[in-house]
Amino acid sequence: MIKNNDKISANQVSILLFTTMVGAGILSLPADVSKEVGPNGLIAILGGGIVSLFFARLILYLSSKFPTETFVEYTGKLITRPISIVISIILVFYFTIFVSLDVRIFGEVLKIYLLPSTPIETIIITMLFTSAYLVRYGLEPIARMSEILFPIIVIPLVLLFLPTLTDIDLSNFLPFMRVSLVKFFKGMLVTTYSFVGFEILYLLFPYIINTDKLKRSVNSAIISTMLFYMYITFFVVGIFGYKETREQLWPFLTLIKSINFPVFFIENVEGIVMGIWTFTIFTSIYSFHYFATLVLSKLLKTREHSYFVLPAVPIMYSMALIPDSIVTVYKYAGYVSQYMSVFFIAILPILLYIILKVKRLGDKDEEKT
Amino acid sequence: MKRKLKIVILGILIALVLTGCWDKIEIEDRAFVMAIGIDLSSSNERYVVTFQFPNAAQITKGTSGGGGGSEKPSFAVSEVADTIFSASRHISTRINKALYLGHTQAIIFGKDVVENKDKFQQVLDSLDRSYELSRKVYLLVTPQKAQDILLKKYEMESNTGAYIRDIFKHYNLTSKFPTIDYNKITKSLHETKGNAIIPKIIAGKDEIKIAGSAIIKNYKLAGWMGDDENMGYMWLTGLVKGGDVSINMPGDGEEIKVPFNISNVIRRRDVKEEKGKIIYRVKLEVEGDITEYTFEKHGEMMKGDLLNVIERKTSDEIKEMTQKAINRFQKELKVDMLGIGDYIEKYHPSLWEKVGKDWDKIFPEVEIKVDVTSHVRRIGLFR
Amino acid sequence: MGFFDKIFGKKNYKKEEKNGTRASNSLKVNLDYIKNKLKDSDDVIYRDIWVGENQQYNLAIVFIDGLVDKDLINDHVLHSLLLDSRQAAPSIEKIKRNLYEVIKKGTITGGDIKEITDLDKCILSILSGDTALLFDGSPEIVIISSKGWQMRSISPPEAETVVRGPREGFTETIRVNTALVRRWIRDPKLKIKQMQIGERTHTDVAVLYIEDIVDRNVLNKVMKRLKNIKIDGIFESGYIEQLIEEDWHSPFPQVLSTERPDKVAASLLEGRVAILTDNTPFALIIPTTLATLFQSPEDYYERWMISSLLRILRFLAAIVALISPAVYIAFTAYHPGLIPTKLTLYVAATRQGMPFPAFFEAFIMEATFELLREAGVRLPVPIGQTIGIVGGLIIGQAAVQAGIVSPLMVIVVAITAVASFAIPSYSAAIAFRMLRFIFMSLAAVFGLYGIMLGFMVVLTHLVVLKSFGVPYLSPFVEIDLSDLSDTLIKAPIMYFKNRPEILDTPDRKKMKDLREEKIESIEDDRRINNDKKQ
Repeated sequence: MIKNNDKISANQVSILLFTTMVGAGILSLPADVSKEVGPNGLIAILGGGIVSLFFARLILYLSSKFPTETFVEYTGKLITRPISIVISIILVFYFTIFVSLDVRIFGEVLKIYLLPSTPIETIIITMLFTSAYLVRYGLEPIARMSEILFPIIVIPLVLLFLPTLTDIDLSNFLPFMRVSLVKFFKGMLVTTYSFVGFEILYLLFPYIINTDKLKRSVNSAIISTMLFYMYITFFVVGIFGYKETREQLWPFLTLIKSINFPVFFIENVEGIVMGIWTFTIFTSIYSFHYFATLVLSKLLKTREHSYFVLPAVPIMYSMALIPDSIVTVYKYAGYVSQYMSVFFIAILPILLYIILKVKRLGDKDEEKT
Repeated sequence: MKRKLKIVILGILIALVLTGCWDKIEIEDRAFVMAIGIDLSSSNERYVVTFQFPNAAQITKGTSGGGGGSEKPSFAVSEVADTIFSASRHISTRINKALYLGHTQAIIFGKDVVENKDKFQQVLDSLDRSYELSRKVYLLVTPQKAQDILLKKYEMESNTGAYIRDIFKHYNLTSKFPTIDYNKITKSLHETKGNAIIPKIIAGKDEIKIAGSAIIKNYKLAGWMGDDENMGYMWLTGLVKGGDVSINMPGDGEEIKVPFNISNVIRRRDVKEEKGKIIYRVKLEVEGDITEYTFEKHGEMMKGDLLNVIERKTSDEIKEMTQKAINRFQKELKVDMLGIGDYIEKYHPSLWEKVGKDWDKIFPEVEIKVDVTSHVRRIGLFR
Repeated sequence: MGFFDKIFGKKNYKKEEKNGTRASNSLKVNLDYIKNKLKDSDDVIYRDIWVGENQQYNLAIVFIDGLVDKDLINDHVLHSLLLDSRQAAPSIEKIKRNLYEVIKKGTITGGDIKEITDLDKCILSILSGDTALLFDGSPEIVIISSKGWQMRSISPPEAETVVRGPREGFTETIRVNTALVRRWIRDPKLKIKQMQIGERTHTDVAVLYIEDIVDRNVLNKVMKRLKNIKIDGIFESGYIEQLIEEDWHSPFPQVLSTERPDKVAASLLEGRVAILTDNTPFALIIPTTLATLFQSPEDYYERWMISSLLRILRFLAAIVALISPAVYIAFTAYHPGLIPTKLTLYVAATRQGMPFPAFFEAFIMEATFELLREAGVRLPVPIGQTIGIVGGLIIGQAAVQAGIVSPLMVIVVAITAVASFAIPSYSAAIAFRMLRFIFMSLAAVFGLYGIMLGFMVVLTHLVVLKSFGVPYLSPFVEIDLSDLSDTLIKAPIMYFKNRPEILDTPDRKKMKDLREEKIESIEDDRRINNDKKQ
């Protein structure tokens, strides 16, 4: 078997972050954001991106204080060992839930658009096994996989929408900023959830070769994710208008269904988009899958994370099948993002930062974000 | 241990593969529905759904010189059912193929469906939720029964669905019917809570004709629009992309009709509030060509005056059309299908905050002013 | 892995522990030893010679008939020893003191000689085609290089033809092959390290590299793995390839084989290592990445635009060869909504009344194609063409007319076949052809999702795979922009200023940047033109 040295470069971190963040969220993001802020979705995404960037840099700052330790170890120093263990277990669960939610939504979408009578169980289990196959080999192949899939995901999606440029009614983004501030912040929060995934920064630091370039790559990852979301929302809202967008379950796919491509061999580009979207889900799933097992192996102090990869599959599989219907899936997703995500994205880093400052721990004093 | 696990996983995957193919339906076992007609049964309680699909076996016969035209080139079957969905299932007891709606080109509503608000809403919802149907499908309303249109065979093209799609493809040649597909209609229905314009289809003896449109107000048929009104509506909403306007010009003895062939339209809008009254102003700049005048009028076109006359008359003609549409919508139906509310909401949000709540009441009071300027750009190859 | 070990066997060769047998002073003892070892080998020629004025000195030469150049032995060994030595007889004193030295340095006119004292090595040399010269009274044995058997002359490489480029390919003789590479690179830093692998075949294997360019990590890995090979025989470079590659479960070749000396020379200059094996015209290039499998030497000889287009075409061809039958299955049996309406109706019409489902139809046709190809390769050329006719006309045409296979399927199979031959590397093409069947099965179960699943698994395999420490998918992974200029496209040669980043080469610079000078020369021209006008 081939051993990889399990170190990745800062550029790879950037791409890994992008592919982790862009997942099932892009399907419903335009609808969620339109529901809250009406035509000002783009600005809300911009705001959400900036907020995410701030917290991502905060997490990065925290972990850079302990350059050779992972989350489990340095939180142990900061907030006592027992609490750290509890939080780590929650983190494992948190990542596992994301795998389950992503794979479930993926299964539902695939069932609706491509394979109406195939049992969702088979779709989910094949996807999880494929993910496990990759995850067993560790971080380095994962980063390489993201690098390969990144252009395959981004370039076609960007190009596919261009023919619809003439259908865009720019007046759909008017009136400008006529929503109440409360609603706007709520919308911003909704978009922040679409950036979920940068929590992997808690764990990533010891595995990076050129850590000096890391700040730049975190910036570029979150900004490019934000631009990608804005690009898609621009087309969806620009064509449908926010009133129609918020009625849709997956406005992104509805838009794909409505696009007319006169010259293409494939009349309905849904097929292509479904294929690409399979990759975007795959990238999110294996990333969360890997980090869940990584935290677990650090927690149990085992040498290799790969022991937990396969045993995690049945757990993720059964968790993915807990919700009865797509409605409950989104209800659960709402709970997770409202409570757990807020905790891991915002509350925990602020808490750790304060404790860090109070205790004056950490190896060296770097420039703050 | 590890090897055993591997074998187990391999076993599961092989079992999956061997028991698989849940969705496999060979292409020749499917019936590709090209057009759907929806009517109500005589008791107005159940639906009569008609599916039209081509006979695939006949398609290549023409080129390979097979047995000739003994078989039907296209089939249409009707089914009575409680819901649209169950109709497509029930029908499988009668045909040897699986219905596939992914290539459906047109859905035709009979008059009775559109007149019944509950049923119409139910139908629309079932279309909206369907994953097989393309969102590029064309919706049409017929004053007859939809079944009658689909059960007929037309000489031009036996495949009725394809026939309708091809007509829509050439909408640029005329502006006699609104060129809106399913996507735009549902968007309009969603945004205005049930108001939309749907093109009208009627069947002739050997052909079908799409002209004019049905006005849906609050999910219910509110009336029909003729060619002129329809074009007026399209002028006001900016849908006109081509077509022609004919004007009367003095000829040698009697008046002659001169077609003004539209090549480009620019629409500008503005809203003002004066003394509590909202004034909505539409400016249309129309460019076009003269494609026929009358023979042996040497050099007339080059004389500056004639073109001015034509331009002025064209503008008047267009204005008259828009006036008809305004009368219809504002005075008669009192429904804002002209996008005025939408415009105010987007561009004058503060005004909208004032009037938005009871826009339905305010709309009939709005003063709509239409200015048209026309320009002749080309006059053909004759002076 | 245990499974494979059981089947293919980790046979433990009981290697004879030998430190060599030292030659004795007695000619007779030595000759007897050799004769004993080589007994029952009638192609061994022993020739006793007496030299000296009085013919008092006993010598013997031993060689194998057929492996040696007889003329060389006659002219430069026997003639020198028996005739020439008499004409210029050295002083008896000298001869007495050291006959061996005199003969070695003063008598034999053969060019390449060396001395050994180990009888086993001597036997090995004799078996390799050298001539052994044994002396009475001296343990040293002179080995005269006299390899000269019948060999194929240099001919165009058959598996890799080009329109533009040299027409010479490697032959079966390693010496000729190393010479061919030397002719391309006249650099003292070009090193050719030769070793013998195979307990019984003692096959010559040469490792070629350029000292100050080569990636040391790769070189060390190659050397180490070559040294670790313990096998009775090496036939063809394919043996070495399989024995030193990282993942032998992979369908993808991790070592590139080529018949072209220019390709080897160019790879050496990029910092790669080449391995030449005796008795085969195929050289191995290490490390190999997926991108290099799509390169043809011609790409570098032609202008960059056409090369780039061809590169893109090859990558597309690989994808077509991989998935087109799978896509046909997925679209016809699962997602007819994804193809244009008119095409759907046409396909439905052509498949009307077909007895087989799409998967089975595709499977039969693809298998038939592989069958025809295999049969065509094995048969002699004139009959091979008949196979083509049978395949094309009878099976293709007749199957369609009989209504067993739809015409579209035949087109798909034909496109797949043509596409798979557009991939320059034959072994890579095989990999794609094999995987195609897996993709077809997946498409038959899950439609488009199956194809995607297949892609994900294959990609996972590829990202994990490494060729001698270099990621197989580089430079698409661990991206370096300058490396990407020689992958999907081939940038103008001006842009290849440096050697590939994926290799850790000490001497990075490949060429001087000519672009600035070009601008200068254009300005010169302009000035000259202006002067002329004035």
